[in-house]
Formats: sequence, structure tokens, C-alpha cells
Amino acid sequence: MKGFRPEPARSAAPDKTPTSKRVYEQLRRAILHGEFQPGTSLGETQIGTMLGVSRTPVREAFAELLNQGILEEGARRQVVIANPTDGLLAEVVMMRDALEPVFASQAALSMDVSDVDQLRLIMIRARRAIRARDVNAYLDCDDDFHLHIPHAVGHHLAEDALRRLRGLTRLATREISWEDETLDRIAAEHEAIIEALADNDPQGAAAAMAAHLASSTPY
Amino acid sequence: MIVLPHPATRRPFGDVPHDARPYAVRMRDGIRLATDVYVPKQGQRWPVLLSRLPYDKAGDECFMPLIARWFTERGYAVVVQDVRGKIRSDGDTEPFRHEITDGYDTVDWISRQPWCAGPVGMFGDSYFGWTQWAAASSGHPALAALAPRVISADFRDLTHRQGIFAMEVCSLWAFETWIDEALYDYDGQLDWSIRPLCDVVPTALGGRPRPAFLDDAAKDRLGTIAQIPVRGDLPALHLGGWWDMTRRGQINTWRQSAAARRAPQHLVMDATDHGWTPVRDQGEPFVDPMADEATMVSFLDTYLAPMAPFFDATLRERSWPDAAPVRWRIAHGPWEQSADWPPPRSRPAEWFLVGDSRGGALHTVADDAERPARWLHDPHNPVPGLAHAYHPLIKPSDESATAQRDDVLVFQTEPLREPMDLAGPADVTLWLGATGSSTYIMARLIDVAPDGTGMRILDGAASAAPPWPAAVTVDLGSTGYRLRPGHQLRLELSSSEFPRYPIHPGTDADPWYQWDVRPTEQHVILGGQRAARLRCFVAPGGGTAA
Repeated sequence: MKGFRPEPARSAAPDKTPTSKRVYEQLRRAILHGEFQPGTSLGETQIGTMLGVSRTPVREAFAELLNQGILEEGARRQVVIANPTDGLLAEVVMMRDALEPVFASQAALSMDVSDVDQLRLIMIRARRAIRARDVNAYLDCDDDFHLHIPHAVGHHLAEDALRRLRGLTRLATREISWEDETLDRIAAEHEAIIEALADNDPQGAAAAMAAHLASSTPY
Repeated sequence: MIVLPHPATRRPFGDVPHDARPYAVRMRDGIRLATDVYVPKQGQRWPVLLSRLPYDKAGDECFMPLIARWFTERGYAVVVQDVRGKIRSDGDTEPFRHEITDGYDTVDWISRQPWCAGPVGMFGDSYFGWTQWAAASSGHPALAALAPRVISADFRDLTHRQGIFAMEVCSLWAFETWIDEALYDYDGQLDWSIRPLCDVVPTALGGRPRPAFLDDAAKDRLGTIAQIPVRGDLPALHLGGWWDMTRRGQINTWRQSAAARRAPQHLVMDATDHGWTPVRDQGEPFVDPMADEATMVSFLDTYLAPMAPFFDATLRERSWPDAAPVRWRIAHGPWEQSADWPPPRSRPAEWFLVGDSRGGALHTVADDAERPARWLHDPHNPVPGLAHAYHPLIKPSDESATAQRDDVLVFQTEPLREPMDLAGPADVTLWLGATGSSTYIMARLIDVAPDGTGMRILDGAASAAPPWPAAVTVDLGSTGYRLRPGHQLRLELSSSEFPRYPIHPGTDADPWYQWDVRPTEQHVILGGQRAARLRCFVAPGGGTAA
């Protein structure tokens, strides 16, 4: 109670997110942030205790993460963190190459100043994360950037598909130690995409996205 | 209690709500600031209210999304912005330096938007009250009205008290707000047993990241970037509280603004602290505005209502029939209005400190004989500051807890038979000596209830230097406070209040960067020609005045 803030702030509007969805988000984030060792098996009771919830929402979150390919069933039917095969990852790259330039060109037709500014705001944080060498914060921004493009123009099916694909790449690249120069280059490519979107230039946006995917595989 | 080596925890940012449109507004140097726009459901163009803050425009700490909805329902567009270097805004994390130009450029951007009807007003508390003074000094013609709350135009009024560093407030503020990596905000506890004192905040952060601003504030090197000259050329609603640590500076800012006679200046002083918590009677529970939705709705009505007629008058040319130069609340009493502050009917009253080294009484007549009251100032055992640095009214401390110490001198009146209304400034004038080459003196004015518990009314701190004895006036600031029958007025003197202020080392060492200390013997002169005295403004007819 000696802080600037009188109490840990609680929202006047209660969080209406269903528990299972919240558990799913927290667990997905913890897995993609590398907070579990590869091959760890996860128990419903253990995760429930960790997140302070009962087993039912954990079971529902497990089902969704199994469906997304982030978790898989182990040999003795226990739930383990998935280890995507090279073949699967190549398929992810193929699909992103095919889809994201189209998403970008479609978005360029109708994004307004605020839609584009939200991408700029994501990149402000991304640049800060590079400077602070906070790779998870950076990669969260990278996810936000790519997903915002279909999201801003209401392409929610596209956004969902992309989230699923990016979950798999992120899972497979948890152990990569990123060079600052690589992250700087990726950020510069993002900024080129932003400029094309700001100009409402569909060809330019598609080309910038394709060039980014070609140069930055798997990001 | 186990003290962790790195007790700082990251505080998540709020999500921008769906009814806000986010923008990245470009400043003149290319830096973009995160800016949310809320507009009413009806109409195309509206007068605009702007707030520029470092505390997350989308978060629940300052609940800007709720404030924005309150104003949009009343026909205003609302713009809230993270200041440069904070939360989602680009640029270096450094308070003060860019607020004048960033304020100008933001008002300029607003004035070019199709939804802007013309005039722009600003609102907000504390640092986001100060950003209003910064924007006002930029002179943008679209800026038409200010409603700064719990802040003065000179930020030094917050960082120092008569030259003594307001260490606890500034340390907490730096720790929670101005961290150089700029990716996160932090929550946590500070370990005040660490020496030297400059290491307290860096230790809480584990050495990296580092707090910006703190060393400059401690060494009083902020300079003119934190001090905005008062011009008084814009209408302003100066909203303050009697338990807000900046009230003295805020009343000065109001007085300077009003003296310019260029635009209407309204002072509103409530019986609240630097947050918004009101003074309560003993036993009355604290109500957390965030407890539930209904409490929050009624809280917002109380918190924002004083601004509505002011902005309606200044931005929409509506009439404001009951506008008054000064509206003020007497704690434990009603709201009042007056033409000036202190209210013209208030008169200064004096009490002399009568007694010896064990303390004594507050008398209206001084002793003829001069005698010293002595105490030992031990830097290893400072007097603990009991009041919360920012929010003293959430859980008010019982100030009687330190009254028994040998290094706290206590003087008090007899129990009052009639109510007595303090209405205006107060100060303590005394002659002080010490065995060191300089010293501090802290004074606290306390309301002692019949059960012996003490409620802090006012406080102050000052430094003194030879030749001893040295004359010192400790400015306690202003209040509106009703002492009820059976209560006693108490004055406490000490040489420390920790961690509110740094500990005077008793040597010539730097109290912030060094820890080289030695106890000193202190004395204050009671009685005679140089008698120590307390002066308060008292309004006649306490409790019965209209």
C-alpha cells in the first residue's frame, strides 16, 4: 500500500471473457514464450493449480490447443507440447506465401488512417523490444502486426487461419537465438509494408509482403 | 517480512477499447504518439477535450475510457494520448522535456480533424494536469480552456518542500512510471533500509532497467523544463484537495493566474488527497470507486461534475450562473464560496509553543522567559513518516503513534469547547539550533480526537543553516478544516520524517548519494522575544457560518 497506486487496480467492468478462453490464451502464450521445456507433458490438475482455475476450463483449453497443433497426444495418451515436423513447417510456409500477399493487397484497398496507425504503434513497441533484447515481446508484436492486416478490414476467417499457421512457426522457432540485425531487418520490412498500405496501394502491399516472407522465412 | 532482491513486477497495459479509434499522431520531429479518439453517437463535429498522460490512456489506473464515455454522453469528443516515451508512444522516456511542443502539435492535429468543432479544452490530474500548463504555454490558438487537478504549473512544488527533496513521492513515481526500457510499467515495494538512498529504486529494479528523472529531481537539477511560467491567458478551473501534497503550489498557480486578469480563474478545493479519496469521519469505511460498476458510475459523477459547467461555459458559450472565484469544502463541514483565498472573513490566529524538551502546550500567550527545548536527531533511527505519500486518506494513519518518541516535540491545545474552522494558510516560525552545519525541521499539524487518535491536517518541512540559532518559517500550506468540540489541535516538531524526506546526515555528506552520518543535538527556542509560534487562519463562527 505504499505505492503510487492505491490498490492493485481492478476493472470496474468485470472481465467477461469465459474462463476456458482465458486459460487457452494464457496457456498458448506460456507455451509459445518457451516457458515449458520441449517435450513437457501437461496435466490438467497441474495447469489448473498454476492458473488458479478448475480442471474443466483447462480440459477445454487443451482440446483447442490439440486442435491447433500446439499440443499433441503423447505415447501414453498424456498431453505434450507438439514438435511440428519439417514437412508441416514447409506447408505452413507455402500457405503463408500464398495467403498473406493477398490479405495485404485486399487490406490496402480499404485500410484507413487509424487502421494503418495501429500497425505503426505495433512497430514502435517492436523497435523498443529489439533495443531491450526482449525477444518474446518482439515476436508478440510480430504476431500482432501480421494478424492486424486481415483483422483491420474484417477478414476474421483469414485472421484465424493465419493465427493458427503462425502458432506452429512460433512453436518451431522457440529455440532460435535471434540476431539484432535480423530483427532490425524484419522491422524495416514491416515498415515497407506499412507505407504501401498507407498509400492504399494493393500491388505495392502484396509485393512488400511477398518480399518480406521470402526474405524472412519463417517470419 | 522477506524483502526480495528485485521486487518489481511488470504491470500489463490495458487493451484499447472498441469505442476508441487509435491513431499514431506525428509530432514535428517525426516521433509518433499513441492517441485514442472517442466521439459521441450523435452529430459530426464536437468541441474536444484532450488529456495527455503517462499512465496508460487505455488502462484502469486512470480509467480514461470511462471518463471519455462520460464526456461523449455530454456532447464532447475526447482525445487521450500516451505522452512521449510512455506505453504505446514512441520517443525517449523522459518527463517534461517535450510536453510544450508535443502539446502544441497534438492540439494542432486535433484542430485539423473533420470532427473538431473548433475549441479544445484539456483536463487531467497531477502530471496530466501539468501537461495542460505545458500545452497552454505553447500558445496554440485552438486551446481554449484548462481544468488542471492536483498540480501546479511549477513541478518543483511536487519534487521539493522548501528545498527539501520529496523523496518518497519522487522515488515511487520514478519506479512506477519513468523506466528507461519503456516496454513495461512496474509495481512493487521499495526497501527503504538500503543505503545510500539513491540505490533504493535501482535495487528494486534489479539494476536494469534504470529509472529516469530521479537523480535529477533529487539534486534539484530539473531546472526550467519542469516550471511553466503562469500567464493566466486561458480560462482555467483549478481543482485541488486539502490533503494533496501539491496544494500549496496549486493555490499559488491560481493566484498568479487570477492576478493577470486576462481570463476567468476558478479555484475549487475539496477535502480530498492527491487521488480522489475524501476525508471521512472515524469509523466510516473507505469506498473503493472500482469496487463495482454502480460505485464507479456514481464516483465519476462526483469526480467529473465540477468540470461540466466550466467546459460548457468556455467551449460551448453556455451560461454558468453559479460560477464563483473560490469554492471550497471545509473538512467535516459544508461547501462554501468566497471571493478570494483565504476567505476575506478569515483572520490569522497565533499560538505559542510553551513547555520544554518534553513538549508542552499551545497557548495564545507566550512565556516571558526564553528557554530551549532539546532533542537528539539520530540518522540511524529517523522518525517514521506515517502518512501515505500520495493517498493519505485511503487508510489514514493514527499520528499519535510517533508522539511518544523522545525526538518528537508535541505541543497541543486544551480540548476545544466550540468548533473551530481553520480556513487559510498556516505556518510555524521558530529559532532553531543544531550541532551540525545544517539541519532539517519537520512540522505536522494534527487533530487529536477525544479517544487520543491523531489525524494529520497539514505538514511542512524546511532546512536551516548557521549562524545558530537560525530563524525558520515552516510553511504548512492551506486547509479548510473543522476541529470539533472535544478535539485538540496538536503541533509536532521533528528533524526527520522518513522516507518521505531524505535523512539529514548530521554531517556535510550528500544525503542522497552518500551515507556518512552522525547524530546531532537540536534545539528550538520557546518563550521570550524569539518564541516559537504557530499561525493559522481561522474563520469566525465555526459550524454556524452561512
